[in-house]
Amino acid sequence: MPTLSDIEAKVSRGERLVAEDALFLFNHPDLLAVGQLANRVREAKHGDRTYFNKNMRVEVTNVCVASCLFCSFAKLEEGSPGAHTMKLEEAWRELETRMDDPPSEIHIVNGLHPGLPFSYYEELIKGFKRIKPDIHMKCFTAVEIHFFAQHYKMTYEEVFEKLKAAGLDSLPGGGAEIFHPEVRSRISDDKATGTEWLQVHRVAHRMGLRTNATMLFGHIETFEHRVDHMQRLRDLQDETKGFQAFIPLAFHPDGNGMKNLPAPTAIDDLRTIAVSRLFLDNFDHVKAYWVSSTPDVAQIALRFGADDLDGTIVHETIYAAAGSTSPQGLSYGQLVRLIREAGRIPVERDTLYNVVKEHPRAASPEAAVKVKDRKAHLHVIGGAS
Amino acid sequence: MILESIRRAGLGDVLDARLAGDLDTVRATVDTWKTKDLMALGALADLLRAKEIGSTVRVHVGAVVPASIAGKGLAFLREIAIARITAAPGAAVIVDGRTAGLELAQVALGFGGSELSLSLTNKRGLPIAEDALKKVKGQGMVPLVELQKREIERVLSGARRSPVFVVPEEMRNAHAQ
Repeated sequence: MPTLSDIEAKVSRGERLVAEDALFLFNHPDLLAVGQLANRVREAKHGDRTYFNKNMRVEVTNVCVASCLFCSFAKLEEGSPGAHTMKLEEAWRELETRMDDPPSEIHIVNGLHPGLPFSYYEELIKGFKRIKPDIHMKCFTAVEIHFFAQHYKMTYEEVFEKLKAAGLDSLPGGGAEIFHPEVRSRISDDKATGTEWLQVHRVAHRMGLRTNATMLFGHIETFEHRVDHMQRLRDLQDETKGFQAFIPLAFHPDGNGMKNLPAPTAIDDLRTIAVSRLFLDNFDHVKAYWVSSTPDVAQIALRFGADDLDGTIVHETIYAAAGSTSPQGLSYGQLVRLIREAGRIPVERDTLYNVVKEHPRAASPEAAVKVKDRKAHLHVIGGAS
Repeated sequence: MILESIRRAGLGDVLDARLAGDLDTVRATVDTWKTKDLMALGALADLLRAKEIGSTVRVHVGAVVPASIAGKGLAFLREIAIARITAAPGAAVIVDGRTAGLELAQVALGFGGSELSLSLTNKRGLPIAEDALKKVKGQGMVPLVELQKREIERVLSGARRSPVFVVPEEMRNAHAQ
């Protein structure tokens, strides 16, 4: 059994943590100690720089043949109440109407629709590129790519060749959930397996596409399953170096097949961010996805190992359907303010982490900005003064 | 490791003064240390909380507690930590969960907070009626107030803390009549 000092020594030496270390950190009673260690690694990698981008989510269809227990977004059949599939023009209009202040990235994630031709997805990407040729198209989770391959009878390579020709630039990290079959078979047994998810990303990396990786935590999985998940990602990253960011996603229970479970708490969010920063030494970035954790907790996560807040998003619908209290989008200015109030330097990036604009840090850390200049000890009761 | 990180952040003198009971020095120098690294401030505050109060959290439900600390974000956590460090040993530092929300309040309890002030509300932030019931599988109709208390217990146990619910005086009187 390791101790916190053992792990701190490893971190100081730049030595890789093993699964047992990560499990120890998940179970350690002192969250702040784990957070401080993760913050040290984060600052060694990025200093105070904290990344975000101007992106826009588009979910063109929620019709889906998969029946994942945790999903509140998908409707199984076209024509079901709440089911929708955008016409291509409707999807493109999402960008056309924002061309006065356009995003740099469009992030598309959908249900697994059995009735659309593959050309729909090719045209979808082409249309966005026609409107804004330099827009970065980050489209389709590995689960969707696997579905395309099966449904349209292609190899992963053939799917990617066609989508790249249409304008696909990178892949998001969704659909990873929890890789371990003990969990995956119970929460989403009718879509790509963990091994298939990883193989899609392996192929994508080999074909020059950068991707992200997520982990849906806080439902029926154990800490061992989380560590196993991160271990598989770290192994693939050693092999391909194609992942950009790791994004822990907190489970939300409203309106889905696991509504009897409680949502993970803020402390679980922060601990998972911290442990992932320490364990995934070969990932450049750990993202605090403000939609899943709320902007407040995401801001705190910037002190627990996270260096990225995702982006403006504009109109998120998947977490909104699961009862998230987060807004569906944040403005550019709100993101800059969240980061500056955390005492960090806001850096607008593109999808591939090229710097678009670095903003100045706040004149003073958040305490000087916001803590009122008053005698703090007036706000306590009792004690042996 | 924790003590080392507190000293490395330049808070060693504050720690020593606080442990020696020299509150005057701690309070007189607050402007020199209040902007130090937030995580180290939190670690110092939490160390004091654990030593002086332990893991129990008094939860004030319904009543507005005037001395509770309200706020949002990292500045709020810093204010809680400063309050703990400058407080007399064993004093209550009350987190205003109405403003912060339960999630952030949970984190604030790890930065030196020892008590929690909350309203029992539904997801829209409206107060829960005392006689409201909800059907729970296998348990029949359960008072919503009871379900909310269970949720608070769950969240606090996630922070490794044990709640003790405090019923305000006026509510006790109302029930007695």
